[in-house]
Amino acid sequence: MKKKLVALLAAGALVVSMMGCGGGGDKETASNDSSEPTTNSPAENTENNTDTNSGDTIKIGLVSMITGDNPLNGERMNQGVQLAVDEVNANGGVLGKQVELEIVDDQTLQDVAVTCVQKLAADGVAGIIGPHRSTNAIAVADTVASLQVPLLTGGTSPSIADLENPYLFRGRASDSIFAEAAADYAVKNLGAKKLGLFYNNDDFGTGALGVVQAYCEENNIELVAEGHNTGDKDFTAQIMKMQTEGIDCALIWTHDPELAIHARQIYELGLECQVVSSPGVTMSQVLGMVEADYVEGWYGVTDFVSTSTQENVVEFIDAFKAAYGIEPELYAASYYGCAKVLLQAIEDAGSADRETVKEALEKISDMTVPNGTATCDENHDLIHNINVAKIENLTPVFIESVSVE
Amino acid sequence: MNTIILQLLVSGLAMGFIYALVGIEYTLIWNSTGLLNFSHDKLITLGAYIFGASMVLQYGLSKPLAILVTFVVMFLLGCLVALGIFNPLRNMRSNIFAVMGTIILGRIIAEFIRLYWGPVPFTVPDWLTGTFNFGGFIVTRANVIICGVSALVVITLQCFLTFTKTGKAMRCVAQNKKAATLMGINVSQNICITTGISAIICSTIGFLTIPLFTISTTMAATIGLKGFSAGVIGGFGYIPGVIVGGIFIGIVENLAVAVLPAVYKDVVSFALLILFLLVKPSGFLGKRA
Repeated sequence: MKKKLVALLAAGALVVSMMGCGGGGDKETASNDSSEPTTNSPAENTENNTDTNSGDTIKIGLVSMITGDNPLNGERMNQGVQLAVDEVNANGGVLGKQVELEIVDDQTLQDVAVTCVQKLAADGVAGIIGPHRSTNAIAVADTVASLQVPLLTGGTSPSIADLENPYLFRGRASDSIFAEAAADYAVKNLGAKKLGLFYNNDDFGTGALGVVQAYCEENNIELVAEGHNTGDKDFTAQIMKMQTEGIDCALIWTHDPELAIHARQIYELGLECQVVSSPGVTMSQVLGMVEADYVEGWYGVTDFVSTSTQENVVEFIDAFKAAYGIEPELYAASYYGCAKVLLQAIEDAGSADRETVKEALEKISDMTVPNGTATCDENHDLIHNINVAKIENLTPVFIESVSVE
Repeated sequence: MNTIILQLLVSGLAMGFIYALVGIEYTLIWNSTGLLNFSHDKLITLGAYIFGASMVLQYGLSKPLAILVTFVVMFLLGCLVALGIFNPLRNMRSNIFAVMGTIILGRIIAEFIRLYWGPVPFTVPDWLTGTFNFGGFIVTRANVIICGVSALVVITLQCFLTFTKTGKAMRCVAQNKKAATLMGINVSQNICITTGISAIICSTIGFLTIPLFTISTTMAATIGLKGFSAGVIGGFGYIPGVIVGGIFIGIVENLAVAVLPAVYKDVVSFALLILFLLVKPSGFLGKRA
């Protein structure tokens, strides 16, 4: 009986781990796996590239997350990119050709993301948008470099810039900018003396932890940091510790489900302090999961605020609503921006040749997109400003735009 | 400090009851078929969606009625799972067929949920929200209700297994299928009923955890795994053992974070699982080793 049980548990665990939870630890395996099939690819890639140029259409690829942990974000990504492509096509396309979008699903898994990039490259795309998760972007980095195909990700981990990969571009502000802006806003505008940081124990959260720690040391601010894991459902311990420490402002850096639970528990356990949160709180994904009282008066730093009054943002929101009947959020806006930047680069390059597109991407400057102004710097980061929003009755209200070097 | 410990104890107890319910729900199936239902976390999620998304938000049923309708739907679905997977596959050469069957079923349910209700997480407004304040010590209403309802489920189930003919037959099938058949018990039908009851418990877990986890496609992933740990620690296949195991894990993992960094919470419960598998595989109250 015992043997049977152990065997059953082991078999189940094996299959479940193969199907489900992609962790940060897979990175290395994923890039190693990718090395084999990619060795032959450059030749094939040039061939395909010629195909792209000679065809009637220009193809771009999107590595989205249609199934897996974040299907909603993936759906918004698809809608944002599709809208950008449709708009460009309605105006005559790029280089006089219609743009064709190929969407593949990485299931938010690192190894699948690598396969997706290989597939898109083999299909002759001029450039790739996504994958979204930082861990997935890092996993595909080697493949992208060996296939020599430019890729724009929305992953915000600072470690993406550390790769110094010539083909990897980022269409959202780096976490270091977000986290520093959040800490700075808490200290300078909200007058915090003792900061508390609730961070997710993955690349996203620990990236912020490093930035906030450095900021606090530099500015002599006391910091209490408490971590948690993705999928945790109870944060009583962390919140009670913060209460005992007597923090006067909490920064929360985590993903949507955990953020919603933090909001509820902070309210229920009566932790009284100002809160500045990672972008999730400004989005309907989180706001739909909480009661208005939980997040009233919270601040969120984000790339995109749907109540912004900037002309280009309003235009984008109207177009998105007309196309899909819903308000766009961060994912839709950022990936719409990525697509616009990529298509502009193809136009600037004068051809869909990947190398020239890559060079054109490097020269992108002062291009207005819904989530800011795109200017490529030496780290291949395109966006350098963020917005602060305040939540009032479940609506994010635009407060100010902050530019960080 | 005392308030923290007390606070952790209360939320640990509530989580413990949830783990215990998860444990009970798959132990019923384990006892009756000798198989594990790896789609159980998806059934929990499905219960929450049927109740929250369809019955309450879409059709606007009153909550008690919504619970009843969900129970009926989930019971029928449980029977369907037994007819489609457990009964035809339990006598195959290897258990792996049925195990794969339930894993794939979980995948199908997850994708069905995404396609039918959409990927947007949401919650049921005013469902088990609010707090009780005992002189500065705060207990959430959800936690109190979880403890109460779980206790009720456990008692009802025990009464059902002890005093009704069907319950007795279920216990009989759990002990010896061949003998049960010889005594005139329809084993396949019995497995249907057991799986149906298990699905009802799954949906109960679903309702109870809505205020804690909100309704999303991945709401039950962690508790699904912790429920397995509860079984191993308390005594696999023995319902009182599973209850003890669940409450034990809930409290220990919560108290552990008072001294350890909170990120080690899951490590604590899974380390306990490994420790018990190595040292005392029969668990606290396990009879069969």
